[in-house]
Amino acid sequence: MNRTRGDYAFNTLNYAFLTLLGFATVFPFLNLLAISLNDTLDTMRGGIYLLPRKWTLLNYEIIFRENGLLMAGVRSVIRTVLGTVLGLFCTTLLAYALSRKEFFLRKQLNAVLVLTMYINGGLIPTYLLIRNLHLMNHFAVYILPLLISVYNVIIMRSYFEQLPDGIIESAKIDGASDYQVLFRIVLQISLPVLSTIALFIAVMHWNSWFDNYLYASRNQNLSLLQYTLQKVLIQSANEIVSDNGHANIQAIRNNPESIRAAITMVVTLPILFVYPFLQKYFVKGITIGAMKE
Amino acid sequence: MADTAKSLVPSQTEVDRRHPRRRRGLGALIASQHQLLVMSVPFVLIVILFSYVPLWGWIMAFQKYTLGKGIMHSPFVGLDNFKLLFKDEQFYHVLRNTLVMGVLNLVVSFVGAIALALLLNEVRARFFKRTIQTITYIPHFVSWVVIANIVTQLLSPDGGTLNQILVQLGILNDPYYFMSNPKLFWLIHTIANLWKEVGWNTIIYLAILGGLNPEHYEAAEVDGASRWAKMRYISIPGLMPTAVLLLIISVGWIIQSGYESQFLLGNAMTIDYSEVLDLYALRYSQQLGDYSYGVAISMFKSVVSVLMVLGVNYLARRTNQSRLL
Amino acid sequence: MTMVKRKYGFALGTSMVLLAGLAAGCSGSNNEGAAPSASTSESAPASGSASASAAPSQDLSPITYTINTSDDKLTWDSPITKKLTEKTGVSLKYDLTVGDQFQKWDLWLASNDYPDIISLDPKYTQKYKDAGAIIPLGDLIDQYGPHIKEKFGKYYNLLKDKDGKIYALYNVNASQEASPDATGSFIIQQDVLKEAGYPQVKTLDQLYELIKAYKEKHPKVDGKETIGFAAAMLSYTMNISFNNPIVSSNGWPDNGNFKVEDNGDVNYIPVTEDAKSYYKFLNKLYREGLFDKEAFSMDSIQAKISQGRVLAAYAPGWFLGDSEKALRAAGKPGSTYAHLPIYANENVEDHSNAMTPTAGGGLSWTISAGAKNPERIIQFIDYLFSDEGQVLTQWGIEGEDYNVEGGKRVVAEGLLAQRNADPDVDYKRGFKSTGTGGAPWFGIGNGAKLADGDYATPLTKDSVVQTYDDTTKETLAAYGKQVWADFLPQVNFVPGYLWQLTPPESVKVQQQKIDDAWRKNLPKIVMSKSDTEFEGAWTTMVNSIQKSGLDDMNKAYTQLWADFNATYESTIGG
Repeated sequence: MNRTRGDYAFNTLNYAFLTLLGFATVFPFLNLLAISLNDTLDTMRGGIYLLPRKWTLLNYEIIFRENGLLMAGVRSVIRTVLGTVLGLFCTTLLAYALSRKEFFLRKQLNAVLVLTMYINGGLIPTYLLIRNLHLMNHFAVYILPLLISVYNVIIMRSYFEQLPDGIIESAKIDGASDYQVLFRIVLQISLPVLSTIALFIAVMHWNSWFDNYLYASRNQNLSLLQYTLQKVLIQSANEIVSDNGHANIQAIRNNPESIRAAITMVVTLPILFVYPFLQKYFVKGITIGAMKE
Repeated sequence: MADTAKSLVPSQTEVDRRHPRRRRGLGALIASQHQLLVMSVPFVLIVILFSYVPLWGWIMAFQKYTLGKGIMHSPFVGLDNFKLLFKDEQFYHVLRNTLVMGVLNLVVSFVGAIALALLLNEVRARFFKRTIQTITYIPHFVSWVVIANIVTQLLSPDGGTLNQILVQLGILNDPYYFMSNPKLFWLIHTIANLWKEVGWNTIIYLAILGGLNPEHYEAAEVDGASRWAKMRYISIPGLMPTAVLLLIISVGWIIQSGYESQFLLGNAMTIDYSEVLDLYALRYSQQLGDYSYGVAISMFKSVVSVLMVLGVNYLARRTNQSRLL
Repeated sequence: MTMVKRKYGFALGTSMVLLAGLAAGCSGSNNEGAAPSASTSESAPASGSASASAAPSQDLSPITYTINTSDDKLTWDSPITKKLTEKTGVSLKYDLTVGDQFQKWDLWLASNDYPDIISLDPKYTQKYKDAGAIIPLGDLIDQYGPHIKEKFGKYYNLLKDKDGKIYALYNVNASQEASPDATGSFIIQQDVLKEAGYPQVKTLDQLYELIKAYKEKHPKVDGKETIGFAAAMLSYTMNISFNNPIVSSNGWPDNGNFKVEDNGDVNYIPVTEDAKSYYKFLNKLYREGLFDKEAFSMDSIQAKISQGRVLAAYAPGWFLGDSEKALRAAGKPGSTYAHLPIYANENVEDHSNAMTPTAGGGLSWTISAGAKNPERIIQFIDYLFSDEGQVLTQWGIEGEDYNVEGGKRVVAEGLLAQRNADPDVDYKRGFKSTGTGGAPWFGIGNGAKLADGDYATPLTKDSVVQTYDDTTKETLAAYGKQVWADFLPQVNFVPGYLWQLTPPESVKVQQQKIDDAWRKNLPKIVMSKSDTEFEGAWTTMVNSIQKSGLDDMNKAYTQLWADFNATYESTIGG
């Protein structure tokens, strides 16, 4: 490889720029980490940047003391894994069908789907629908309404459409069914996009707490991590303003800012590791696939 | 075989493959494509169930809806809610803000994400690349409350870092109250948004770049193509179909901006530039307990969204780009 | 921004509780509460017959009702609540709403799916009533609620809705005096007072001189600029920092954004001359660099307070949150605050220490149309209103939470110690409840007395003094006072506050626009660099507010207030 001076300069600049960007974007995270490890009252005084002033693990203790946190975490993982597997499967099937140019309903179904990205019946009708479907306080309410994300379908469809026709055609001539084409050929060469869509779905499931709050708040056995932590946060915020009417000499209460930071940590860390994991897994898939051929 | 399988040259050779359609009947068509039907129809039905069925709620826009009476017994008021909306000066104000900020965001994050993806793609050190990629999307997971806090502190006239630096360098004599200047709001908001989302938006482009055939690059290198040429003739064309598609999708979302970021970064002094349609809807409908007004705004947004998407889609089709519909 | 209204109501509610405590009084006429001074519990003749009718006929079989709350820590598994079940057979099951409870209430109503006891604010009580989702309670109270009637006494009729029926129950104030933990809402660092030799600070001008002199001597605190006067304007805090100080410094009762004139006219405060002179005061501070530079983009002053940099501010106790505690923890007790009333000028007569007879306007209990055996719920509430129930819920269990010494109830040492160690002890014991107005479990107020002549709640001057640190005691001693409440004027009895009433439907859009115009224009006024600029900005704001329908709004509120007073006079009279 011949490296020119320009190449060298570009590389240096590129690395420098990316490193800077990395610092800029990692800052909120490190800042939150520092705040989450800082004494709750001391945090109120501001000025915490990258290092805690008064170290403590109390904020995490408070979070982990919350009843049912562990189970909520387990449920969140189950929801995320199940939701991602099912979602990825269904998205793939739908995207493949819509990518086949000979499919006679292709245009119509596509139009029906695309419109849903821009219309919204509103909260009340949706709530009543969920109730009438008897999905209230049922685990399925976490999976079914979110099964298909049209945005993901479109991205995947477009990816499939760009695959060369040749291999699919020849496979079909060899008598392969659509299932075979999809699973034996198309998916093998779509791993990067599959891993990305999987990430999108996983993040969506992991982060969502609104459906928990709206549709499953009366069943404690369905409480998810995000919702449970939201409770901790609201609770600690309530305390600050609700101390009245009683002769209580208050013990030290916790400042929500530090709790919020600790909560963000607890919620964010697991999902941050998902993508590198997915990437590794799928990249391995690619290399194995390449070696076979 | 393997080569062609991996190459991603867009198939411009769109042979008309509609042959089975006319010659055989619908029954035969269904029979021959039953696999595709099974793969798609059930899922489309689910989407219809959760997205279209609740649309009966749009009836509220033509009523004076109250929760107690419900849709069946609330009185109809015709187009009153829409008239009220279109008569309100404030509405045009927030519409302008929504559109301007939406377009700014769209353009900046579109260009930013692609640029970052291309830069990351040039990095050979795999560990460095991975690390930076992971790090840059972290802010996506941090709530706007926290982000807005950091921005406000950074720009604070009371000991904010930026002011300290500017004063130290002698660029400013006194600290400047950045958050008080309405004209800076769009800029601050756009940059904050870029910073928060650029890494996340890059993921999909990196995935596409990762799927491009490495042999194209190798061949180009053998031909002595420069880095710029490779980017221009291999990477960018590879990204284009997806990029254009995402752009079309996002155009429809310009008007559905949400309100969190604007609300948290804005204040009384910048309100003429910071208030967006969704916040307006919240304030004038939900807060005043007028659901019908909120639904009317929501309908308006949907219609505008769809029109904008159709428009852009038409343009894309005219210029032979990938399209949404 | 959706928070604005809600938070504001809540904020006022809280400050009302702090300022006013809980009281019953005479009919808001000008005569200072001298009239029938006997508290309702003593004067009510019902107490004897009440206990007689309540006990024998009552059904004590176990029954469970659901009730909504946003408080995750409430539990029925506590000594006091178990005792409640023992006495009434009733258990409550908490239906927790995390997040936007207003949205939940809407959805419940839309889907006809709500708890048995629904804790609602007045606006939603109306919505639920209109939809037939909650039942009228009058007949049930007649039959099963003697203690409810007894404690409300002559104010019982105030519970009634416009249609003459009762839909919601909340607590009544039976106290004659301000709660000993009430305070004035202007705050000044105790070090500032100390250095100046503890001068009398009565007026805003004196306050200005004081902080000006102090900042000149101490321009920096820990390397950061000293802030003479702090405020915050984002979201609901605008009312705390830019409306309420006008109310307090002019000695008016807290009617939210409105001033009630002597002739009964109601006026929007931000455009009054009184507002103008307060903003003038802020502008003077701003021009001299004494006002917080970024007050207009802040939603809290707590961070700056905790840094010890803020010399003075307008901040009710709850608005400070834990910031004073943070200062103490950082070893800066001198930077904590004196809580004082301060006035626009020497001649202000202070009527701001007002009390209303009931805690309407906050959350209250309603009973859903679907609740089985609603009479059991009324019996349960009735028990809470009984003296026995009051002692149980406010003092706890004898021998565990309190002891009787010399015929008086005294909080047990053990409970005091526990409270210092565990912030959740009141939940674990069962002292906390949900949505009953100002005090938990329909408490009748700090300073109120039960039929046995002893206090209804444990909060007394002594118990408040116990919570003070040495610096605070020193400052108070310098002024010859025992608690901050001693700085407050005599209690003023008013029939109610304007903000407790459901706002007039007809002008809600105008009101929104007017509030927007106020919010938008005020920063320019406070930050103006010259008198001419100030006058110009002021005129712009007034014009903009007038254009948005000021007269209509004032008229509608004048009417609302007149109607309320008429009803009040007629119900209390009859």
